Amino acid sequence: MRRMATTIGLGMLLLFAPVACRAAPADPRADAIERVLPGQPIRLQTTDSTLEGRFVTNRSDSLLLARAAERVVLPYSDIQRIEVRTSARSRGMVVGMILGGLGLGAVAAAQGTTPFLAAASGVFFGGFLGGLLAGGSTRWTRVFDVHAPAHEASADTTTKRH
Amino acid sequence: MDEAAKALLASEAMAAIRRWCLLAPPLALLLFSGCSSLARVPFPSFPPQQTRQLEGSHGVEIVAYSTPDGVFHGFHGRVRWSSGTRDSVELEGWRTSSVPGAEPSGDLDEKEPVKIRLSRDEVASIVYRAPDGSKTGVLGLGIVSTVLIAGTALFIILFAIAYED
Repeated sequence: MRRMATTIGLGMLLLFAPVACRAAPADPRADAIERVLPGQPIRLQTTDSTLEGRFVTNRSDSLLLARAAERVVLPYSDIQRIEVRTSARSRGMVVGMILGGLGLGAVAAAQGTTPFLAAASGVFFGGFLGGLLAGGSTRWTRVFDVHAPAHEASADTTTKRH
Repeated sequence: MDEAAKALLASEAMAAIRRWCLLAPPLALLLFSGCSSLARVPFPSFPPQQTRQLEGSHGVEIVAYSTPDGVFHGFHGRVRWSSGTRDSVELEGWRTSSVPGAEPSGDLDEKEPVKIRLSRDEVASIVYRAPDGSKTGVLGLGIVSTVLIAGTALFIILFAIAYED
């Protein structure tokens, strides 16, 4: 019994060790910055100020930011929080689905017809319209926060470039 | 309206439905093929699907790569491990002079495909086209909405024909 438990434990260790190694990068700050696209609007909070500009590039220990005509080099160690501008499409789609479903469902219920089909149609219409309308706008998405656990920050920095 | 005209209209409506059904496969293909957006990942931290592709002979399609000195090099082609030990990568494709949003690297556009081998440490990050769930979702919802509108319209037409005096 003990031998079997040892074998299973060793197997689990071998199975999950590579995953665990990959999940914990050496510097989560560097990992987040390596996911920012060149030219993407970025907002950085340092210990004493907040900088906003366009991401130019990064090296192993610093980041280059363009603010109008000036260039700012910022060491990774100074960065407390990183936010990037990302498309609001997915959020718009979800809001549209909820509003569409509730709206059409309520209208159908008020008119005495079955609300389920109308609510389902409202989810599709609302999601489509919400995604379409919000697709043109952007929002700040936090990709790193020194005070937050790593899993809380989103690493999705894809832009809406086609 | 006489019975013959009703039957004619009904058959036309059914033909329209059949035409819509013929459109379904290409629409489904469009939906499931998905949309993509540019994404950047530290090399070689690709998502699982691309990591598997990196192992294979096909490789991962890329748009650009960056080097540790912070320069973005435009490269339309594929990247894959060039050895089993994963200490070098092979890039096969076309060099391009520009990367969207990045400062010029000084590389020139090349018309002939090239094959270059770089050490793993020479590639800091990769810019590639990643599947975009939100774009695909909006497209899918748009297709379903269109089908719903068309279906409802056809249903109303058929209903009107059937109950017309």
